[in-house]
Amino acid sequence: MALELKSSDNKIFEVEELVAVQSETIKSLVEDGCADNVIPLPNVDSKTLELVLDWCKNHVDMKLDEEKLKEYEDKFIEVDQAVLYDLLLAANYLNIKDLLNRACQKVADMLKGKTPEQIRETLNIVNDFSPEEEEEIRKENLWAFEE
Amino acid sequence: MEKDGVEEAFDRFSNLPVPIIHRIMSFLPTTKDVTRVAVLSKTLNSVCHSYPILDFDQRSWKKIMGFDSFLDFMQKSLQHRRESNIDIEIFKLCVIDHDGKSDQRIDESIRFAIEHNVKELDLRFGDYWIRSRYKCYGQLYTLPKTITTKSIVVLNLVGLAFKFEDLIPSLNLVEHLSIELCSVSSNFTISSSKLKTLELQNCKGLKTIVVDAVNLQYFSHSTFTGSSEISLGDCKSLKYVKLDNTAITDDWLKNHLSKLLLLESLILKSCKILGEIDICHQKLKHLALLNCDKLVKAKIEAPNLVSFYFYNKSRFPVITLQCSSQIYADLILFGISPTNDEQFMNFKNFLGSFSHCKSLSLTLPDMELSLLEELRNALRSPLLSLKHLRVQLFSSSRSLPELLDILLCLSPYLETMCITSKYKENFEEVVFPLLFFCSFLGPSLIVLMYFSLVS
Repeated sequence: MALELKSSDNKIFEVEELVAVQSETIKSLVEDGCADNVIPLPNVDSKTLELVLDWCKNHVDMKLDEEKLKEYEDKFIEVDQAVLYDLLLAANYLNIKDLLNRACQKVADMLKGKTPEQIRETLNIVNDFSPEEEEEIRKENLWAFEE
Repeated sequence: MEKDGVEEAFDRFSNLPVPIIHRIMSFLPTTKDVTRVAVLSKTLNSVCHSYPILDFDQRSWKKIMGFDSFLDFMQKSLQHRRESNIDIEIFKLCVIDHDGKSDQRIDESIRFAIEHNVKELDLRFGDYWIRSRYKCYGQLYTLPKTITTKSIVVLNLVGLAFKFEDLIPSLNLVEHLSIELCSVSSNFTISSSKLKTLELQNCKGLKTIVVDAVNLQYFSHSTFTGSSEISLGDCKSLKYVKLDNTAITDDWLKNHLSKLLLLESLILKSCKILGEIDICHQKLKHLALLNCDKLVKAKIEAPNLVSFYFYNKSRFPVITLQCSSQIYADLILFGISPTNDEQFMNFKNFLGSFSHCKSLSLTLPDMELSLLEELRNALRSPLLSLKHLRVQLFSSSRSLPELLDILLCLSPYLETMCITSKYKENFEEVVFPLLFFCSFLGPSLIVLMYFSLVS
């Protein structure tokens, strides 16, 4: 059985139900009988949706081959930050637990072992503490600024 | 990302929904990484104050701050959180250098977690490794009595002193309970339909354990003194039971096995009262009899048994094993030397119980090899059906050909053999397939094989 999904930029994707229900959100729609027409996904653009559906399809295909699946996942998540965040938010909106966890892990990997300065640079975070606040934070969390 | 006038770098991280930032933080490996997020910006600082996982481990901070500063740091962190009033999911506290005296900062932090409906509470006091290894309790921290909570699902307590009467009312929802190296009251009686795993390890003062938990699947008990009475008969869902130095009798075992019909793994270690046991169980898959020194006789009838581990220092019990041919057996035979014929027969029959095993692993000091030699000289080789043999030795005074000779005579129809030695002087680890008909050929073939392996 095929379902039709519409991205935010009005592109229609036809997918097998088995693939689409990896998303708990879509799964509930199917179970409630609301999936007969095109399902609009206003929070996901076509570029991201295509990637997400690729993830879902491969998870159905490679379900029994753990090694192959891991290889796929590792390769899949090697994307630049912008795409990573889009995937994160899409996985959250569509409620696809394994994609959400993998994407979160990837972001965490970007943070681990780095000093605050390094993290700010990687994630483009602006340090909005005033000099006094900065001093206070440093005093309280001296260890956080060490290597 | 380039930071130029046209393509401005954008901080999407800080704009993620807070639950997602929390989820990302849960993948960070160390507490240091987690707390670093708090110093990045004002936004992230407040996101961290609502992060529901708190892990204060003194060991991580030991290099940076002393015991006192650590507690101050914890107290301050919790102060920041009081405004947000978010529920805590996990609270872990590990304190090593305390001196047994109550500390307001510690008690306050425990109360804080409970007031915020903590689901998983993990309190560890004292150096666990030293205490387990040297079987001592050291200074125990007194658990504050005001732990009355109905939210806890997972509870781990190490190195505390408390009475069960004070704790049990809070255990309504607990699914996983682990109490280790604590000083407790003598009677532990619990009745719960939620409890799934229960570990009572080396608790000082514990004498009687009565568990009525219909959904309990995992139970593990150990003691330094070996004097506890346990009743598990009502825990019909038990799959895994491990008893270490527990004074259970032959009758206790028989009784409980007849009630625990779903049992899959049974590990009996240093159960020094067991003398003649009768294990008849349909579902049992894994059985371990380790160091049960008074064991004289063991009758095991378990058609689904997949693994059998045996370790004994004093004597060979008479073991009759009826199991599937799929079984894997691991025998550690130490410091035993049957000096009379009866004992020798015992040993031969003991080894013969495993002739139908799929694969056998023997760990022997060199002395035991002389026993195998004796067996070689006996008329019938005891391990006729054995296909896979693994032998680990503690000394290498025998050469490889001698060894192969002994073992092949013992089990002539082997398909694979693996010999390892703790001291790899004479030979390396050897794994090679043996063809069926090689057993008909004499020692010359074995010698040939030895040379080919060395080169």
